[in-house]
Amino acid sequence: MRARLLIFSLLVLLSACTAVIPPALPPQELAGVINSDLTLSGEILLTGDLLILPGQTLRLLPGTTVRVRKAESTKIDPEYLSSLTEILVRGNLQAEGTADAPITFLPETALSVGEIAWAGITLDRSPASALRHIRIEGAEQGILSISSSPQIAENTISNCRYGLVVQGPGSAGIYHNQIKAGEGGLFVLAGASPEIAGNRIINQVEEGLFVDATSAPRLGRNEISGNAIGLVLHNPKLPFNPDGISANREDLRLIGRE
Amino acid sequence: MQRWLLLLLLCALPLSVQAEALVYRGESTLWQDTVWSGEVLIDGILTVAPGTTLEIRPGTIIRFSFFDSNNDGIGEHEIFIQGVLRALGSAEAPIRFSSTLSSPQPGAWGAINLMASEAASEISFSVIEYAYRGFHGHFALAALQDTEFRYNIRGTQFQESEVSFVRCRFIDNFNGLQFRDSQVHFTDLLVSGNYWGIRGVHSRVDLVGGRVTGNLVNGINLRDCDTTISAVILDNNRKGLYLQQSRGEVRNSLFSGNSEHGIYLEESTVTIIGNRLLNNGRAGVKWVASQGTLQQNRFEGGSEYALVNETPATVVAPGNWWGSDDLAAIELAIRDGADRDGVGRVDVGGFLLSPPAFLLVETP
Repeated sequence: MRARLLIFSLLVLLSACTAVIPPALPPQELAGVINSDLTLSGEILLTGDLLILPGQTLRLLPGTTVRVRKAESTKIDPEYLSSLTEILVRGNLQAEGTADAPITFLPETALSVGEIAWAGITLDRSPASALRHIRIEGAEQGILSISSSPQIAENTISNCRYGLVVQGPGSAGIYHNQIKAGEGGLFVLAGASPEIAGNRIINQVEEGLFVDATSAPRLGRNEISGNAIGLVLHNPKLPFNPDGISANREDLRLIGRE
Repeated sequence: MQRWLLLLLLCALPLSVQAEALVYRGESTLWQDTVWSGEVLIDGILTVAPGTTLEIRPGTIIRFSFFDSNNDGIGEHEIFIQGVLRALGSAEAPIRFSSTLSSPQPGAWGAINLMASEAASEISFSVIEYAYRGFHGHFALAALQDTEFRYNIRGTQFQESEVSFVRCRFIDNFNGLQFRDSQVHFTDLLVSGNYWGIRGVHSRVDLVGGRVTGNLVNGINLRDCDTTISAVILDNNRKGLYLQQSRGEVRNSLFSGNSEHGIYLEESTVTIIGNRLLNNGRAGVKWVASQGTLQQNRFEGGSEYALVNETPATVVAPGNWWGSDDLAAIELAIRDGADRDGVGRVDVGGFLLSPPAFLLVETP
C-alpha cells in the first residue's frame, strides 16, 4: 500500500513537472509560396524567400516570433527583388501584435554592428496589409511599401539600413512608429503620398525623413531627432509640421527644384 | 490519287509555311527545320531539337496557354530552343509572343528558352509579353534587335551567354534584365517602368546610347562586372547606376532626377568622366570604398550633395564643375571627412569655373 502511494505521488509530481515545463517545440519552418490563407503563431524560422500571392492573406498572431535565416551566400539570381532573404507580399500580411505581445522579425543569429541579415518585408501592390506592434531588426529595408495601402502603426524598426520606404501610389498610413539606429529612417519616393504622423525617427546616420521631388506625403507632427539631417524635402512648398524636428545635426534641408 | 495523298500529308506536317493556326499540345519536339507564320498555339512544351532551325515569319502571333501545375501563379508552357531560332519580324509586321488569356498577368507562360545553342539565334521586330522570362538563355548566343519586352516577370534572364541588344525596349516588366557570367552589348536600349532595370553579375557589359528611366529600384546594378557606359540617360530611377566590386568607365552620360543617387560606387574602380548630374535626391555620386578618376563632370545641383565620400582615402576630383565657382559653396556640396569622422576628404583642386560642354544626342 505504501509502495502504491509512493508511485502515485511520483506520478502526480511528474505530471505536475511536465505541466510546468513544457517540452521545447522546434520552430515551424517557413519558405516558398503562400497560395491560400494561412494563420501562424509561435516560433517561426524563415528559411528562404516567402511570397504571398495576390488574393491570399498570411495572418500572424500576437506574440509570434519570426527568425530569419540569412541566405547562405549572396544570391546571384534572386527570385524576387533582393539577393537577401525576403518576405514579398502581393496579397496581404496581417501582422497585428499588441503592446504586451508584439510580433517580432529578427535575424536567426546575432549580428555584428551594422550588419544586415535579410531584405525585410516588401509590400508589392498589397491592398490591405496591417502591421501593428511589430518589431523588425537587421533588415536592408525594414518595410518597403510599393504601390500599396497598408496601415503601419506602433511598430519599432531598428538597426535596418532603411527603416521604412514608401514608393508609388497608394494610401499608406504610417502612425506612431519608432524608427531608430539605421542608416536612413523613412523615405518617401516615386510619387508616394502616405500620411505620416506621430512617428519617432531617431539616431539615423543619414536622413531621418526624406521626401523626393515627386512625392507628396501628408506630414503631421513627428519627432525627428539625433539624425544627420532631420527632414529633407525636395519640394520646398510641401507643407510640414516643424514641431518635434530638433537636435539633428541639420534639422531641415529644403532643396528647390525648378 | 497518290499525289493528293502526298499533298495532304505535307499540309499536315509543320515543316513549311502554315496558312492556318498551328497547334502544339503536350510535350513535342521539332526535329526538322520549320517555318511558322500566321497563328501558332503552344499548349504544352515545345522543344526545337539540336541541329534544327525554327524560323518565324513577320506578323506571326505565337500564343501560350496557361498551365500552372504547382499553383505558384507561374505558367509553364514554353519553348526550348536547342537548335537555332530566327524570329525575324519587320517594323510593319512584328512577331508577337503572348498569352491565350483574355486578361493575362505577367507570368502567364514560361519562356523562350535558348539552351546551348549551336549558332547565334536572332530575334528582331518582335513583342514578347506576359511571360515568366521573356527570353531565357543558358550558354546561348543571340542577337536581338528592335524587340519589346513588356509585362513579363523578367524581361530577360540569361547566364554563360553572349547576347547583343540593339534598339530593344524593356517596359513595365517586374524586372527588366537579369544576367550573370555573360558578355552583353547594348545599343540604344530603353529600360523603363520596371522594378529592377538591369541587374548583372560577373559579366562584361557595354552600353552605348539609350535610356534607363523610371525603374523603382536601381536603373542599372552591376556586381563584379567590367563595364563601359557611354551616352546613356539614367533618369528618375531610385538609384541610377549602382556598381559593386566592378571596374570600368562611365562617360558622357546624363544622371538626372534619380530619387537617391545618380551613381553609387561600392568597392569599385571606375573612371567617371564628362557626365552631367543634376537633381539626384541624395547625391550625384556616392563613393564608397572605391577608387578611380572623377573629372570633367558637370554637377548642377538639386541634390543633398554633389559628391559623398565614404572612402577612408582622399578622392582626387580635379577639373569638375560643381555648380559654383566659389570654393565655400563647393565644399558645402560635398560630404567628406570634413563632415564625418573616419572618411577621407575630397580634393577639388583645379575645379572648373564654368560648366564644361556636354553633348548627348537623345535617341528616340
